[in-house]
Amino acid sequence: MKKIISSLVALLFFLPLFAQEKQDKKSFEVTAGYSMLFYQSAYNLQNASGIEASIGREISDPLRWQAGLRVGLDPLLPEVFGRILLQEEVGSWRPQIGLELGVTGRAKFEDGAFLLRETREAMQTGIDAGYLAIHTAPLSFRISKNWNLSIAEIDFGTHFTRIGRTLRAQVTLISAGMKF
Amino acid sequence: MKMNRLLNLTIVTFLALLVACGEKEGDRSGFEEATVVAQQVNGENLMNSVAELVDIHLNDIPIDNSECPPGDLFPTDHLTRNAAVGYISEEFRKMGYIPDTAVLGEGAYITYNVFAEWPGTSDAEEVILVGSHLDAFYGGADDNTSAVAAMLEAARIARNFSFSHTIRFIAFDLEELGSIGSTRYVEGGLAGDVKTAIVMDLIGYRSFEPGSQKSVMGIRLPDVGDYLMVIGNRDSEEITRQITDMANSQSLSKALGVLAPGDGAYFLSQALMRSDHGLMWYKGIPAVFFTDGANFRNPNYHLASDLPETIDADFLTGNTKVLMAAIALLAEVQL
Amino acid sequence: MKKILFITIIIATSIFSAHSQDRPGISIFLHQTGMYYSSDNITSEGLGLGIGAHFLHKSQIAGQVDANILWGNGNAITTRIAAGYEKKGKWAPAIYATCNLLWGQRTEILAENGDRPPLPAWAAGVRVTPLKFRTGRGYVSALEFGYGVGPAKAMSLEFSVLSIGIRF
Repeated sequence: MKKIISSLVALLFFLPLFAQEKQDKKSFEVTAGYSMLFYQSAYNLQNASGIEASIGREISDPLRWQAGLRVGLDPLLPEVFGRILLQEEVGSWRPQIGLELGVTGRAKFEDGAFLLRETREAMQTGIDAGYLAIHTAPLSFRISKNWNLSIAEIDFGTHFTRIGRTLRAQVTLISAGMKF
Repeated sequence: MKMNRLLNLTIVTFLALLVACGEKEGDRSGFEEATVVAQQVNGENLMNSVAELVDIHLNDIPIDNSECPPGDLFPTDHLTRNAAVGYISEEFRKMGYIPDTAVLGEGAYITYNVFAEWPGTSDAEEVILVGSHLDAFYGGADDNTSAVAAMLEAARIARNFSFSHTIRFIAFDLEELGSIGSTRYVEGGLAGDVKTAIVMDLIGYRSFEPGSQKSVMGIRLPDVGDYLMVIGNRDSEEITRQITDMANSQSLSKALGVLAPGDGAYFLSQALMRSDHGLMWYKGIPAVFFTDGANFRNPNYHLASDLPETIDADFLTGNTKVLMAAIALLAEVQL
Repeated sequence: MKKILFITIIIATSIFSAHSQDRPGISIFLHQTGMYYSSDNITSEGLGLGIGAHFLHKSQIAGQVDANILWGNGNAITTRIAAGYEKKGKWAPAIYATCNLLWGQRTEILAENGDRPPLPAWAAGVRVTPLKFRTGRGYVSALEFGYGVGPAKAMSLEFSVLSIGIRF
């Protein structure tokens, strides 16, 4: 694990120092990815994997928009999201940061455990569907003229009702994007 | 020029943010009257109640735990409550109360919340709730006969005084399986008249050893476990501050006041919600929680060694005085 | 506390006003951040986001102010002022002296008389940005770390996953 982290940090350090041919920023980019979502609200905690697909485009350098659909696996639960992102390019490194707003059906905490079941159910009232998150893609790279690859995208977020009560922490383990 | 203005604005804004809000001095009115009431607490009564109730638990038949098999520090095959329900009802009756039982739910995990009320005079519709849970693993001397004993002693003393507000003494059932009795009580709308609640869970264990008190999920606490924790949230902030001040200034017991962020129902503060006040906090009912720190202090937590000889009688007596003084203050005793 | 902050602000102001004819570069930045603050009477922590302004004078003297909201133990709000040195060139690591103020929600240990600990809490310390790169539009910085100390044996740990600043 230490070697992997060291290699990633080294990559992050050296790659930006070398400029590469720039991509056409006016084109659309579609991405697909696989993620892990950790949800917590009062006594409730759940985690689930999911897949997502999105489309995005530059608004005006360096601003981009992105909109997408994410589906949680087991159970199948959907959410839709939109992002406004700042994207920089340093060589082939193209990190992104921005705000994500979404509507989610994944804030469900059905857990078979007996302990605290009734209290946990009583504490699921008032969790609305809308959320806000800060999204980063710190390890996003352009790998060819039309292809991008991103690993370990990180989102921290919360729901709008009783802000701070319900927490989302999501890691998009891998995401690939293509321009057209 | 534009940049200088922006810089100056930034600095001025930052300086303005430095001005801290002044804290008003604590209001100690009512402390002396409350202390007079608190001095009625009899330590011998407390330890007798602890001994009797521990004996009852040890000789009772455990509940059906088929849906919740035992785990680490969670010995559900030694969880008892049936005989304790009868004992508490009888104790209330002996004092002259007419006890009642809120029977909620059904099946193997039906809950029996035993309660008795001392009616108020001028504002009887507003209730001060005093709660402790009656179920226990093994003998449960600290968890939770210490708190039940304190509640019963407070109920005994209350009958000697008049209060503006009604006081409801309630022993919640099946807290050890996830606060089931209190959850059903609050969800069933039975706490709609509660102005303030005092909930107790483990109030009898003390240690003077350095390192005897562990931190709670990153919350740093004084490491000598010789104090009662008085825990509140945003809704019970003022009461928590008053009780802390009263306990210390009137030398009732050494108290450490703790305020959870907001309503307390956040990821890292939820350890402070771990008892019958949890859903009250979530639903916005002002509640203060008394505890000695549970498994973060007591090495006998949920073990067969949780016996009367591990209870510090002076500490339990002092904490019961804090309870009685808090009741007198909140229910507005009329001397 | 106020004396230390006053001196810090005077130093920051004098750095920028000493060469008032030269206009520092200003970037507005957004970052993803986290913090843990622990003292004898306050615990505040969380993960979230922040926005701020970064000032650069003569390509080497750097200053920064930002405000953040963090979730995990209530809604913690932090504000920070920092001043330091940034290396010239495309790779521009920096080191700052920082002063953080903590507002918002936190777990509090009351005094014996029931008094709440002061608001804001504060910590003074150091922050490093080893993976900072200047771009044509501003900068990108990954994995920033900070450590601070404060009253009542306070210890503060903070980090930023990613920060992107756009110059205007």
